[in-house]
Amino acid sequence: MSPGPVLTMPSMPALERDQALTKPAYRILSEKFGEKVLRVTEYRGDLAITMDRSAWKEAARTLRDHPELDYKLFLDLCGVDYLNDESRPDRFEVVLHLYSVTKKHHIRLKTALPEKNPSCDSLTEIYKGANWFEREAFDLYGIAFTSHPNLVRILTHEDFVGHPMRKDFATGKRYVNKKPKEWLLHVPKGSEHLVLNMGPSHPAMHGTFRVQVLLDGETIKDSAAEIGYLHRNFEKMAEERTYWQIIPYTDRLNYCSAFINGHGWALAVEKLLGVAAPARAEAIRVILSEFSRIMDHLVCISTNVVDLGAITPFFVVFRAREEIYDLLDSVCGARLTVSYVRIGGVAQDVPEDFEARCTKTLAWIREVALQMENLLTRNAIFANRFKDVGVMSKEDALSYGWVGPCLRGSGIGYDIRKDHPYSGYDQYDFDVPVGTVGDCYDRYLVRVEEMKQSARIIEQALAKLPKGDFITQDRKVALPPKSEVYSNIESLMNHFKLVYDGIVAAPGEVYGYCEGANGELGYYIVSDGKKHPARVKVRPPCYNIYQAYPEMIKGTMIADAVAMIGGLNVVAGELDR
Amino acid sequence: MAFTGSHYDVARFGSEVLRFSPRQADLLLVAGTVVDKMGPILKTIYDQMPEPKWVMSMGVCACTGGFYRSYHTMQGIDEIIPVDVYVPGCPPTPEALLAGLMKIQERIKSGDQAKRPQGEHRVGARAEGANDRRERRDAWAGDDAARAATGLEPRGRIHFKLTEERDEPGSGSHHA
Repeated sequence: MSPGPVLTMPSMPALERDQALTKPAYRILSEKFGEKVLRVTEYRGDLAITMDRSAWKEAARTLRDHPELDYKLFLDLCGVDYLNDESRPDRFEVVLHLYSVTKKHHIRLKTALPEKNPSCDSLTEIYKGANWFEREAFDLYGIAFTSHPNLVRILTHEDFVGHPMRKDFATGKRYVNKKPKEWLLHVPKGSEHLVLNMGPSHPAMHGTFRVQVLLDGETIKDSAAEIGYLHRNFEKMAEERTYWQIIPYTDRLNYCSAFINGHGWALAVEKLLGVAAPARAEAIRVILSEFSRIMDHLVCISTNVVDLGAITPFFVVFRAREEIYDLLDSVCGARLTVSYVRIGGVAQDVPEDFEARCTKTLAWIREVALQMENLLTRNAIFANRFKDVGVMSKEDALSYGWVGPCLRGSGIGYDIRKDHPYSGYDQYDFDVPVGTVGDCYDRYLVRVEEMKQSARIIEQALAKLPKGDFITQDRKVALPPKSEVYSNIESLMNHFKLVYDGIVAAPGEVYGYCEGANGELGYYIVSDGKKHPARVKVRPPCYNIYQAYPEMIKGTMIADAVAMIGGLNVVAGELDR
Repeated sequence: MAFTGSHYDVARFGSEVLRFSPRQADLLLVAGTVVDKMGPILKTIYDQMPEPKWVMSMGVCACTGGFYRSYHTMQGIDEIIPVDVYVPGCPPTPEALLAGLMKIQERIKSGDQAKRPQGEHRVGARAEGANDRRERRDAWAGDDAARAATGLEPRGRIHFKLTEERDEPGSGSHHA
């Protein structure tokens, strides 16, 4: 492959060499790989380095192992298709996102792959989490990863033909799946072990995922997981929608805390556009995000204990959930899929009695959470089922790319709200709970404590809820108020122009992220200067988390496997997208 | 989940028993998007249910595919199984779901029976890539008209037989 300029996007110029050398990642990579570092860009604060594909794997290893870089946390890996982009000699690109929890910096590593032979080295040796992400890139883009242990389709079904996320694949082209995939495990011939299939429709599975386990008595000898039973093509649909039309789709990712997804999407697009939401909008977003987080944790804990046979907490907890739904209903008219966020703010101002309602709801939550704790925390049966079950070490958690309450349960206090504050989280005083053992019980305790911290944040945000606009006045981003549209020509033009042309982002790419209820929810957006994004990749927290599950349950009892799955809080809508 | 939870409490309508095995259930509630990969599994679940059985399609995604008109999303579960009550909404409110449930109860009282698997009798339903619902519905309408011309009822219209009149199993029930 001929080296040369890979990107010629006007708004993303390569950094000058002396400027680039101030970046430790570039300095270290260029010392080691010289000419194979093709390009380095910085756009909206995101550092991106393009490598020659021959150095792809070793570059990733250097990033992980070099003490000055320490990119231990695997975030995301995806393919991008640049069909008909004249400025690029190569059609495909593989994009890797990494983070360092000690140095607190992100990096994006890319490599370009030609259309004829889109293949590069697999990173599964370096990051455990890369396994499923590479399978996904293979499934959706047809990118082959050499020396990958199990490079088969993951999201689409077996009878599917072609690679649907390629730009030349018609969106509506479907193939009928005639028969479900029967065997996920390789069972040795003559084996007397029992193979048990759980899911995709199974009461303990909390959604449409599936594991197959090989049992020796009640001990799990081997296991394998299959996903994609709710793969409804968010990313493909996003390529045909304008930036605001994507908001309703984001609601349906993690539907237990729909608002946070929209919040994250708005943050990512705002980062891409370089606009900011007004202070009032940010405070409203924070309040509703924290309510959503509480709701998500409540659902996670209560359904988890239903798996253990305790139905009472479910009934207790769902009362509080209804209160939060009523609150959301009063704010935006929908209970679950709120679609309340807008690029540059929120859809409308909160109702007059918002603060009173929030205070009332908080009181409810406190009462319910206390009841739940009384029922569970010191309950001997509960503790026995949870303690020392599903232990995840720090190193493995990072390598798999665990984030959020699960990572914090394993003892790493990485919380985006603290480490990279957005939406004014730096104004609020709150603590980040961290576990010590990394078992199910720790994850439960972290969630319980996080709910209390969320309640603290809400109280502080309510106390100083700023006055002013609820959406930005930038008419390239936000629609003018209806009263103005009907009364003056300029607003009418702005309205028409924005509805007709949509929000147009300059060519460039960003990775926007926020702390979802399950952990880091990231959106990698590539814009080619049109009204539709050229590529949207969601970095779903539970994709990484569920990937570890088949490994975690090996050697444990089948009942423990059931106890573990609920505490990981895997949500199918987000997992499969 | 709110449907069974303490606030809305489906138990008030005589239907609180949730069975996690299709072999013990008479109502299949298909909640959320069904994708092509899930299709054969949904069909298996439906086939496992004992008769008489009812299907409620919950939410627009299950009814029509919703706003996911794309390469892996089934455009409505009636591509593969018959549906008795469609509950719209994304997601439907618990009230809508309760209304759907009561609709089914009404139909049972009035002696109406569930439809046959639509994939078997509807023209075009199994066509590969029959993505466009309108196209499929047109094909069905054409079929209905052709049958009406020869004095036949539309396919899928099955009259419930009361228990005492019911034939011996396998000797000509509505599944023959």
